[in-house]
Amino acid sequence: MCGIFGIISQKQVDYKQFFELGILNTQRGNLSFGYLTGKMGQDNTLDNVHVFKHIQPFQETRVAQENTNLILAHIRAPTTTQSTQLANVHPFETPDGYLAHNGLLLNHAEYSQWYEGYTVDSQIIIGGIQTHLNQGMEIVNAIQKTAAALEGQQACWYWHKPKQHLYFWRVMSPIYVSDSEETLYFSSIQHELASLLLKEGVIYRYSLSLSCLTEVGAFEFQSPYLYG
Amino acid sequence: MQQKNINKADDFVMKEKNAVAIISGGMDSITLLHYLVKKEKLNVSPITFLYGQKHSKEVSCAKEQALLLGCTNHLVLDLTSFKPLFAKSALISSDLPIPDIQEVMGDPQPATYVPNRNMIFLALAMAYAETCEANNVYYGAQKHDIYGYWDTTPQFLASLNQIYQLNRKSVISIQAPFVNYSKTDVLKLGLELGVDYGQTWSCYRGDDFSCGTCATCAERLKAFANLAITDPLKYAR
Repeated sequence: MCGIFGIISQKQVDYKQFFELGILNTQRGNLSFGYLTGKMGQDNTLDNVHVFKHIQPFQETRVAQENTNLILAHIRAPTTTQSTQLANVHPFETPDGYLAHNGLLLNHAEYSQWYEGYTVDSQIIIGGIQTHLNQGMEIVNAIQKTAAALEGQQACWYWHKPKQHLYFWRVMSPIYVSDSEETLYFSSIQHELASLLLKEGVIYRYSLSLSCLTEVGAFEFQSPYLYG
Repeated sequence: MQQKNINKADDFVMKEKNAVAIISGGMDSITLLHYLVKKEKLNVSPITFLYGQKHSKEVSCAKEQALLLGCTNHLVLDLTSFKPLFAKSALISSDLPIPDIQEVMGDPQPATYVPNRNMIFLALAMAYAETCEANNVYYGAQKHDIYGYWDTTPQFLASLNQIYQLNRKSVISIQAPFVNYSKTDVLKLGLELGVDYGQTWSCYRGDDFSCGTCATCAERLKAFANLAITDPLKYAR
């Protein structure tokens, strides 16, 4: 378990803000980290998508400060093993997307067919989405079907390559976002840049071209906690 | 010779019936105690630890419940001198506030984690089991504890049992029968067994009323809500 955080902006990402969010998200453990960057092209599409993974703790000096409009990150503190192999570092990739996940799944073994040879429970989530996409399902339905099947904590960002949309959803584990129009900030831990808690069991889509976060679906979930 | 074998068999059966159970006074461990005594018909020696917790409301409940079930050999072990070892925990340190549920969601080791507590408690309970000639030590870990506590996971349990297989004379295992139960499952079982949950205490804060907002209150309230019944405890909110 870990933290997810990031910045998506029409302007160039402010790395000072990114590091501020990153340091905040090391509170829950910091053994390795990974992130995805991208730069907006002239037609509002994202070019030069790169993924960086480190098997060392999150540190400013380990982040390549490129001119970018999008940076989606994950800091890892494994719940079942201390091993920090590069293959176990988020984000994970399948043909149609990238995913990072904060949380712990209880029934991942029941869905092992979704990601052959998986080593991290989070791979089951992206494997499930890809499996449903391969069956011809539309992306929101693929997320719905996957998220609803899994028992446990989910705070996820998913970058859908074909449509260039960013999706968020959560069960138990939090995701806080900003309400600023030009820039979207998100974080597992509340910060003045990201202070609004997304609703549980709701799928949100962020459109780069429209710079807006909208609810696009919902799914059934179970939580052992009662809270307001 | 034959007589000797019969005695040995009796001895084994007797040890099988002896058990040590760690009880805190919370919902899970008290349900466990009722389960072991009433359903498994075991001769249970309960053990409870005073380790510098901010309040001892749970411990009072543990004492009452043990007495109620006729467990006269309830050992309440005073480990308050261990407090400095655990001072990093919000359950112990007066400098660290008890967090609300929303502050710890998704945190793999929240502030309420007590450093290596379960390993220490289980080690002491295993010692007690050797003395009591018990074959099993029970503790009340349940399914969702693993979200925040590594020392409640099935992997932890399996690893610890592997270590205790090295014991050359006493064959003792650690059992967590509720490890695949949700709090709701535990409550359901407890109600069937006639547990009075008014005589249990879960809240991490030790105020007059349960706070209703810490992680353990949130979990307890959800279990009662799932079964559409009212918790007999009073809540501040």
